[in-house]
Amino acid sequence: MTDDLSPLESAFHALRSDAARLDTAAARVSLQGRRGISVPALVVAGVVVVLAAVGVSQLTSDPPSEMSTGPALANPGDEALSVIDTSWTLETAQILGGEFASFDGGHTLTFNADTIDGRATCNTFGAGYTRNGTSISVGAIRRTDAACGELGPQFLTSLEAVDTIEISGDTLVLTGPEIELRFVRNTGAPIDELIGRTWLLQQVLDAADRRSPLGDASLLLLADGTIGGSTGCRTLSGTYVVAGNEIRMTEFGTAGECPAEWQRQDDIIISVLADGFVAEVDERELIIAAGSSALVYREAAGGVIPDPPVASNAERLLGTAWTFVSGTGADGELAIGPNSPPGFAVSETSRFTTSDGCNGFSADLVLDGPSWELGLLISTLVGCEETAEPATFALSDLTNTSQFAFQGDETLILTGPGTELIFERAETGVDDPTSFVDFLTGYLTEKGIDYDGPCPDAQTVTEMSVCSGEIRPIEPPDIYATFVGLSRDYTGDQSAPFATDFGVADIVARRVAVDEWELVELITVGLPDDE
Amino acid sequence: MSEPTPPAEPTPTFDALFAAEYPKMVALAAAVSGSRLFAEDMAQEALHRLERNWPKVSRLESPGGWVRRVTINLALSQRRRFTNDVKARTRLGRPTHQLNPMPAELHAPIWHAVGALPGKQRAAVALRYLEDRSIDEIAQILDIAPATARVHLHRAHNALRESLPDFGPTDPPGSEQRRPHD
Repeated sequence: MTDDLSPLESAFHALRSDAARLDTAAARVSLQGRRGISVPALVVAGVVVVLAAVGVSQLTSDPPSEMSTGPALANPGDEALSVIDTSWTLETAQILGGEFASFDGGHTLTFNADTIDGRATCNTFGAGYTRNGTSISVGAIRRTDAACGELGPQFLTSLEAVDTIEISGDTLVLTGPEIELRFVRNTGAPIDELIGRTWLLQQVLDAADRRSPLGDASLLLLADGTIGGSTGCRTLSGTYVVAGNEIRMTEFGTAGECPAEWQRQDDIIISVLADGFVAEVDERELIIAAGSSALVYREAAGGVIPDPPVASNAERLLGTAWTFVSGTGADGELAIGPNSPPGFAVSETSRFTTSDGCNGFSADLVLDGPSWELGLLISTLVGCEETAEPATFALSDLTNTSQFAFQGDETLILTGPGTELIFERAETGVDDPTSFVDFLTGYLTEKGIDYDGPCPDAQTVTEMSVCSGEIRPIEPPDIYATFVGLSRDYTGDQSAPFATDFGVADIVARRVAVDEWELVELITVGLPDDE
Repeated sequence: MSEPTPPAEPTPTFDALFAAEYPKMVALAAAVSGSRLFAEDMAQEALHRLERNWPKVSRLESPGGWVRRVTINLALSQRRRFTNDVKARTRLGRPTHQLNPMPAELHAPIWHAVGALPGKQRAAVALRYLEDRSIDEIAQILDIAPATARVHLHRAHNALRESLPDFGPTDPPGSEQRRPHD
């Protein structure tokens, strides 16, 4: 039946058939055992985390509100030593007649209200349990079945057979017939100690290597659920939720590019943080480990991050986009008319881009203190119906300005003789190079622009043709595409080659601008190729 | 007299959805991550998240689309972790892991070629050939524009055609009429 399929289709067919043979019912049961598992399942390599001791009193302050059975007495004389919401790492084990073995941090155990879960090398597991004082009974363990050595199954089989629990300080011992599992407490970071403080990276550990970081890499988790910071070369952003003592990333992104020599540090930081983590805080030091890497942060002096270098007004304007809000001109208050520029954008290379609702314009922008000066405006040459509406905001009002000032971060005021224009910051939404490239390729395809095609003959080109385009991050974060092609102006009298870069600022301007501002107009906003 | 209202489509239970989707998520995770070994774990994790969010997700128009996106994200994340690990080990001159390659009976060389594609292209190809998804469905699941999905498929086809001499599919993506996915 599969004879007619191509090799690719056959491979997918085989994979589909292979998966269809799985025991779905068993997987469902296994999933039920995972309820409450708080450790991401996809951890391949373990890392030994040196955990600082934290007082028992601090860690057991939560009432054993949902303890499964009986009072949570661990040892005679101890009072209510709850294990709920505590996490432990296996240190040594004697398992079913075997010898003591040393473990490498790859076996963990977390107690929830009435379930346990954890990790056994590369597998995660979960089970119900009941506890009454020093007695404990662990129910049937459900686990994932990745193949990663024999210690996992032995550990889990032993765990099912334990009947006694003892807690002493930061040590947990589970015993049963010929079994002793000895754990050390994972203190993790009390979330309150972690959030709202700014952490500066001090060391990057990768396997046996340990080095000081390049630049000022930082991490900041805000109480509103957002994260910030940098890898030293790229900025971090995202959102998180707290699950027990784990920080889980619900969104995680980066912006910017890294020089080659920073790449390793960037890779490690992203690999440690991107999927969430359990952190350890020791006074002013924060340790986050994942896989074979770890990051050591120290709280910024005085509890706050040193203020980043204050950007000059010019620097603040680069790479931004602005939407017109209101203004006054020679004729009084300015309304928005059909030919009003919706706003403008300034690229990282100080290129000004705007539109009058029909044609696109760009110019070099010279910024000096509070002054700005637009250079020669390059325009598309679309024939547009002129509509004279004197009391509307027009391109001439923009070019009439010579001073700019920020009011906070979100408002920009441009002034000139008899003119005051107020803009608000526009959402760029194109910080991520990948999404930008996706967008651009999709847009071109949607418009039927064959940017990979051959250049047409100059005599046959109509209006405009784009060819030999290249879409990739070229000089991020500013330039993402380069096009060359031929354009014929609207009169049809002449054609000329052109080459232009296409950057974030351009696309921002398009988004800020009228929706129908066509890309073919936009990309002609650029200096013609003199050659 | 008004027409009798047809009975509302019953909301699928989580168990029913699990039974239907688990094998598909295993295959999807394997195709996107390149690892059959970890695929079951990823599928379980995705469905675990689905169960955790069931009250919310069950009200979505397409819970299946939601769990597919989660599965794909997990698979891409797994691949990224692995790649970072290999890069780190290579820089240190240490032996690197194998990504538990696909078994030979699953046409391992093909997966080597698929695994060389960028993540989004792998995901698009997997949804296309594994689940017979239309461009619009792929776009919806990957949360990208249909045109972007088409570009991903187009580029994936070009790359596969170069690496696999008898690649096979000749119909340009977007032009072929696939049966609607049920």
